[in-house]
Amino acid sequence: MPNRLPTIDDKTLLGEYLSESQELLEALITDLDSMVARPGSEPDVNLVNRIFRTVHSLKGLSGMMGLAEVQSLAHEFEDVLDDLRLGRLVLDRETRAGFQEAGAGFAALFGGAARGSATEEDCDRFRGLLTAIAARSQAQSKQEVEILQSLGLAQSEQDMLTELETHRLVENLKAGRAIFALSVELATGALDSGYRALVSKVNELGELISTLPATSSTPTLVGLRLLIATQNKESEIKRTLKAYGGRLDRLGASSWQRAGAALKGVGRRQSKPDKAAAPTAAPLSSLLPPSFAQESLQPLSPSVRVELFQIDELSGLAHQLAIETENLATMADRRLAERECGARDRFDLKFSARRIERGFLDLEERLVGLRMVSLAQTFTRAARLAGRLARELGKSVAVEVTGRETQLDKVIVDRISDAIYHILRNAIDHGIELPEARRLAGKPARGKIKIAARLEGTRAIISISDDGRGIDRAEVRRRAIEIGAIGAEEELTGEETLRLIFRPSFSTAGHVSPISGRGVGLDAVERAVADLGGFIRVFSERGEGTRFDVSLPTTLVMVSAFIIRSGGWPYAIDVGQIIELIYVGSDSVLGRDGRRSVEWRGEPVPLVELAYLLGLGGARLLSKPDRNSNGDGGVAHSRSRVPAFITRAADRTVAIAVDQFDGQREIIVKSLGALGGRFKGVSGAVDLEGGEVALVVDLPNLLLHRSMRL
Amino acid sequence: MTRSESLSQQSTEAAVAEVDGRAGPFVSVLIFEFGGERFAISVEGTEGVVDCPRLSPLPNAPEGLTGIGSVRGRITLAVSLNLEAASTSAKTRLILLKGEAQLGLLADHVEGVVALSSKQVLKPRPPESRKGKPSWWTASACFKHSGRVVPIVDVERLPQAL
Repeated sequence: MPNRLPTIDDKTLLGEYLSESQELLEALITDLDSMVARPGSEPDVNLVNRIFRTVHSLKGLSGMMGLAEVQSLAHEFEDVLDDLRLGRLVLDRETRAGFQEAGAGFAALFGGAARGSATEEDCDRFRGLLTAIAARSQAQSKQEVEILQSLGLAQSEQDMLTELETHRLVENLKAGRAIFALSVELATGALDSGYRALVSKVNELGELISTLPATSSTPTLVGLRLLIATQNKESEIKRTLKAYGGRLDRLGASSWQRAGAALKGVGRRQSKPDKAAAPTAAPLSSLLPPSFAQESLQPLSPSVRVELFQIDELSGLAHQLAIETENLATMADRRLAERECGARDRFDLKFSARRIERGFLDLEERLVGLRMVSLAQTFTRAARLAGRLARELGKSVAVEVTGRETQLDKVIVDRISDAIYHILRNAIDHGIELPEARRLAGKPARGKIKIAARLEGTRAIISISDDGRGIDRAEVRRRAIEIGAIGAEEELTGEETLRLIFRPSFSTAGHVSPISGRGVGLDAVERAVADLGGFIRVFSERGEGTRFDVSLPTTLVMVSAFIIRSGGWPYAIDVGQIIELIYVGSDSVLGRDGRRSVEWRGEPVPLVELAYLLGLGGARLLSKPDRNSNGDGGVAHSRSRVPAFITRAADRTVAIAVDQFDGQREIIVKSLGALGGRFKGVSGAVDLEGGEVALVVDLPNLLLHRSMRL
Repeated sequence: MTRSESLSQQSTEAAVAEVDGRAGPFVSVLIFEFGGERFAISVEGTEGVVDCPRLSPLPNAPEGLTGIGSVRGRITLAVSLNLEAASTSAKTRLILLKGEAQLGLLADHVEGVVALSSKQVLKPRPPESRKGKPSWWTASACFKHSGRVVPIVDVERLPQAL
C-alpha cells in the first residue's frame, strides 16, 4: 500500500503556489536541457547557478505547501548541483542523461505530490537517481586530491583552502596555467594598504587564488603566502613584483609530469567511465519509468497568467458598455412614450435594459476580482523575517499569523509589503525587550508578535502588534518638541502624541541599530499607505505593547488621468475619455449663453463649461480675456484662448471648457465611501500635493445626467 | 480644557467634574461648537478629531455636505450640522465619524468630553421648538450643559438624513 504524501486544503493558496511552481519547473527543465545540450565537460557556470536558484525556490515553495518529502529531495538536488558547480562532477554522457532525467523527474514528483498522488516509491526512485549522479562526483574529487598533492602544498595549507579555491587551482592547471606561491612580509602598520597594492599588482599578472598566513622573520612584520595562477613567465612575475621582495616558487614544477598525467586521466574518464566511479551498473536514464517523465508535462495548475493591464482594459470596456446601455434605455424609453406604445412593451424594454446593465456591472465586479491575491506570501515572508531579526538581536519571539487568506488587489499587496516589514522591524527592534528585561518586567521571556488581517466592509485591516515595552509618550513628546514638530506648550491627547512618530525625521531610538535605524522613518510608511488610499492607526500602552492597524481598500482602480482646473478647483479626468485638448479663441465661439458651440474638425460641437456641468458655476464671458492668460485688458480679444477638451459620450461630441490644464499623471482613484454612488458623474477622488483633493470626473456619466439639453 | 480630545480611549478627565455623585450608567459625549451652536455626539461613534483639511466642493451634493477633503489619505465628506454656518464659519476642526460613509462633522471648536449619567440624558426636543430652520438631522437625546440644552446628534442616522 503506497504511502501518500500530505495535501493542503486551502484552495486559493494552493492555486497560487502551484502556478508559481509550474513556472519554476518549466524553467528548470528548459535550463537543464540547455545545460545538457552545451558541448564540453564543463557546464556554463551562470546557467548552473540559475538552476541552483530555481531548485532552491522550489524547495521553499514545497516547504510552504507542506510537502516535506519533496522539500528534502529538493535539498538533495541542490547538493548534486553544488557538486557540479564546484567541478566535483563533470558533464559526461551519463551525468548529462542523469540531469535531464532529474529535471523531468522532479517536475513529475512535484506535480504528483501537489495533487496528492505521489507515493513513497516515487520519492525513493528520484532519490536513487540523485544518489547515482552524486556517486560519480567522488572519483572526480579524488582526482582533485591527486592534482593538489602534485602541487606540493603542505597539508595544513591544503586544509585551509576552501572548496572553491581548490576548484580554481585545478581549473587553472587544466587550462595550462602555472601556479606560483609568493611569500612576502608586510609591515603590520601598513598591512591594509600594502596588501591592497600587492593584490592589484597580482591581478595584473593573473588570478589570485588564495592568501595563506605564513611565519615572519620579526614580530613587526606579517608573513603571507599568495597562491597565484598565471600564464606569465617567472621572470615577468619577478619583475612586476620586485618592489615587494619576498620569494617566488613555482608549485608542482618538479612533479609537473605527474600532474599532467593526472589531468589526462580526467579527460579519458569522459569517454571510458570507470566502473568503480559509478556504483550503479544501470544507465542513469533507466532509473525512472518513461511514464513518470511524461506526467510532468501535464499542467500543474489549471490557470493562465494575464497581465494586470489586460484586466483593466476589460474593466474599462465593461464600464463603458454599462453606461451606453443606460443611455440606450433612456432613449428608447422616450421614443416609446412618443409613439404611445403599450405598457407591456415599455415594461419589457425596461426589464431587458435593467438585466443587461446588471450583467455589465456584474462583469465589472468579477474583473476587479481577478486582480485579487491573498496576503499569504507577504505574511509568510513577514513571519520568517521576524524570526530571523529576533535571532540576530538575541531576542526570542513567537510569531502568530492570522488572516493570511485575506484577499486584496495585487498592486496593493505588492506595494504594502515593505511598509509591513518596516513596522515589523520596529516591533522587534524597539518593541520586544531582551529576554532578561522581559523576565524582570514579569513577562514571559519569549515575546509575542501578531500579524493579522481581516476584512471590514470594503476595507482590509492589517494589524501588527507586539507585547513589548510600548511607546513612551513622554519621550515622544520630548523628542517632538526637540525637533520642532510641536510647541512646548501644546497640549495633546494620547493618540495625538502617539501619532507624532509619523512626523518626518522622528526617531526615539537612542541608538541607531543596524535593523531599524536606516533613516527610513514611519513617515515614509504612512505616505506609502496613504498613496494606496489607506491610513494607519497606532495604539500603545507603556509596558504592554504596541499595535499598528493599517487600513487599506481591498480594490484599487488606477487610471492615467489628466488634471485640470475649473472654477478654481482641481479635477481628474481619465485620459481615455479625452479625444483632444484644444485652445478656443474667443472669436471662434459661435452662438451665445447656454448654446455656444465651437468648430472642431469642420463640424460645430457644443461648448460647455465643466463647472457648469458640475453645477458649480455658470458660463464665463468668453469675450473677456481669460484670467489665466496674461491678457492686457480688453484689446487682445483674439489672443484670449480658453483651454478645452473634446470628449465623446452618448453618441455626441462635446467641447468642455476649463480654466487650465495641469498635466497628466497616474492616479489611484479613492472611494467616496458608502454615499459615493449618489454623486452622479463623480467616480471618486484623488489626493494632490498640498493637501488638495481632486474629484475624478466620469464624463460619460456626467453628460448623461446633466446635458441632454446641450 | 485641552485643544482637542482623543475619542477612542480614556480621555474623560474633563468629564469627571461634570458627573454628579450618583451612580448609574454613563454615556460619554463629545461637545463641540459650530456656527455659534453647541452640539454633542456619542464618543463611541467617533474616530478622532483632526484639523480640518482643505475642502473641495462636491457637485450635486445634498445641503448638509459642505465638501470633501483628505484626512491621512482617506477621503472624508465634511458635514455641516448648521447650514448657515457652512459658508461663513472658520471650519477649523473635523470630527471623524465611524462607518462606511466616511463622514466628518465640521466644528469651530471642540470643548471636550463629558460623561452623562442616565438621569442627565433627556428626550430630544421636537425640532419645531428650535428657532430658525428645522434641522436636517435628528437628535437621539439632549442634555443641559452650562444652562443650555445641547442636542446629542444621532450620527448613525446621518448618512440616511443627508
